[in-house]
Amino acid sequence: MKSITYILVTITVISLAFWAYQESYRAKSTLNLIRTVNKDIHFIQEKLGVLRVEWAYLNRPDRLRALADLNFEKLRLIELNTKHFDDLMIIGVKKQNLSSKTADVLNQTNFNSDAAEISQ
Amino acid sequence: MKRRPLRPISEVIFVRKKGQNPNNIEKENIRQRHLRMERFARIRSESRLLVLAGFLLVSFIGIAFKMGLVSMTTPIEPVASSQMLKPSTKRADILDRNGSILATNLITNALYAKPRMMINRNFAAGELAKIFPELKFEKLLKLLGSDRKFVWIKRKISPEQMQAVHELGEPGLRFGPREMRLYPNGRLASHVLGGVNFGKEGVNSAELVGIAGVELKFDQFLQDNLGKGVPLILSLDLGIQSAVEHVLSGGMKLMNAKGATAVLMDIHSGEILSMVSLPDFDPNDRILSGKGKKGSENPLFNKSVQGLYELGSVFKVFTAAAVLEDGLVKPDTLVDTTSPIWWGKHKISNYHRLPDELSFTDVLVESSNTGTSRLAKELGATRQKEFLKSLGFFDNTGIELVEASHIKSKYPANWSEISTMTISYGHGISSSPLHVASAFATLLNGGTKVRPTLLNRNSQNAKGDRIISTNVSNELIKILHQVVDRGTASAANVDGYSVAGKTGTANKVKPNGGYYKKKNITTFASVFPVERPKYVLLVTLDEPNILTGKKSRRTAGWTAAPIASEIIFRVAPLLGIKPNFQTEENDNLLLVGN
Repeated sequence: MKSITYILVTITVISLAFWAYQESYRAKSTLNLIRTVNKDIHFIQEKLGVLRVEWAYLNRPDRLRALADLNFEKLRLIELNTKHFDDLMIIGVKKQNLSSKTADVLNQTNFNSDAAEISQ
Repeated sequence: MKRRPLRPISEVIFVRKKGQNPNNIEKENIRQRHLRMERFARIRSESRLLVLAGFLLVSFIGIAFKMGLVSMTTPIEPVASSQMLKPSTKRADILDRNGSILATNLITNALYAKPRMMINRNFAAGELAKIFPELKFEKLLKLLGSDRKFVWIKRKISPEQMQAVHELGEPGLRFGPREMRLYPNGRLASHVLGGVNFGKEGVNSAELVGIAGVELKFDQFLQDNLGKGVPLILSLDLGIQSAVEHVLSGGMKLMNAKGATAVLMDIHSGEILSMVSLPDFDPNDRILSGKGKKGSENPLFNKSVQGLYELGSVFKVFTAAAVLEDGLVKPDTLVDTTSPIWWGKHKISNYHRLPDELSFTDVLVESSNTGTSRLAKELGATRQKEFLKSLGFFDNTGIELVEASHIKSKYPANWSEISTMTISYGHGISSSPLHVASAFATLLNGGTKVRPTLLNRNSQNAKGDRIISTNVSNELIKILHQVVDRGTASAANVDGYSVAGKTGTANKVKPNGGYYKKKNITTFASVFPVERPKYVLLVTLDEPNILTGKKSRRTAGWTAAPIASEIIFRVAPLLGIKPNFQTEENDNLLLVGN
């Protein structure tokens, strides 16, 4: 009886030791993995930071203004100003009924033909 | 063990022959057997003890060794969660109200040298001087020739420069990673942002410390939130700031002005959407920008919060608000505007010829100094001072800029009757443009006090104490609208938007007393849209002067007002204000239906 107990205890101890050993190594390799992943994240974050800076730098208002000025005609841009707004009331009214000012604006913008050309 | 018999027959026979007792043999043998067993047991337990002692010794040595190792090495916690991650950049970003980046960080490198490890100092100094044109060869040689262990060469270098230095192959030249503050928009909002400098410095990192603007004011916040990624969100709007800055700098050149400033503020929440002071500087290179110039000439000087100017007739609005609030006049009350008024040796006259009597509205529309002076006299010095105090002129504005923390309006120590009269039209009191902008916001938002702020409040109302009644506020807007419609500020009319405002032209104060005759500070304070007032825009120009024909024009109506008009024209669509594009013939339109 005694020897059986001894054997059982010994086996238990050995198997526990084996399990602990395995767990320890699994933990270590997981930690290693986490370290690598963290390093990657850190690296990517740094890259992202640089990209964000680049994005902000390329989109700085001064540059956008310069670009818009440069391509104003090529892209058929129109300035955003109050002339592009009007009362909803006048929509659907025949052109001759419009005020000269509004008709002017409508003629100037001529968006139908512009849109057609751009879509080509 | 070989067992021996206790009574060996031969010995028994031998002893019997001698006539002795054979039992003694047995006794003796048992005794010897016991002795042997005892010796054996002792040896066995002694060896066991020895093994045990050895085992314990080894274990204890092992434990002691491990303990020593643990105590000697620096502790490393297992990095098991992603929360332990250190951010790649440390100082928090600064964003505008829409999330565009105003300030962020970038990893660069710093260049340092270990002169003792250098091989060819002459060559290295020569090459470094080529790579960094701003460093002088002699200085470099002196630096590298010293016997020091360690010298800094340059705090921030670009990747290209780093590569070039690498290619020199000099083992004594080393790089340390550095976080640098970057303002991607350059000069935009430079006065608000301020700037940073390196604080405590080590080889592998350096602390960034705010030295001006919001960078200094919120230094603790920006440094504290390590890794939380919480940015500082300002009330500024990048697009609007850019448009205002663009128009203002163009206008400043056109008007031949020395400097200019503009403040755009939400009158309900107190949020500053744009704050410009020209000339400005590049916060990426703040230290160099500020060199050599003093006071308000220095580009680092923020005119909108630090500059104290006599702002002239815009102050008439405050006088008007006070007399309306006290019920002394109604908009159509007639006011004596005969010119000049003599008070001792002081003379107060109107800027241009006016009738001897004007309605209260027209006193503002025509900007009559004498009319306003008489109204202020009726109001009294005490009430005038108290009213200006309630508008916040005698305290700092509370704006989140360190530079502005001690800025209060300057006024004469003895607030006499003549002071009352001159202050009523903005002479004898100097205040910052922001003070005036906040006072305007307070008067025109319905009459409750508003404190300017640079932090995003999502346009929420920040109602303070009531200063004037809502009725008076509405009356004021109507009057100021007429100033633009048919008065001194007609140049401020904007196509599609209705604007209310007041011009102010004041002679510049000489540094040692008295006024310059031909140097002016011109201001236009406005509020728009008139139908539902939402924003205050204040434009101030320093010494503007334009020629129309042969006439030199220096008044606000000719200089500040048209700039403000252009700013509103550009900015109002960005602010999402619906234009009231009223075509004159709208009323004649026929509504047609099926």
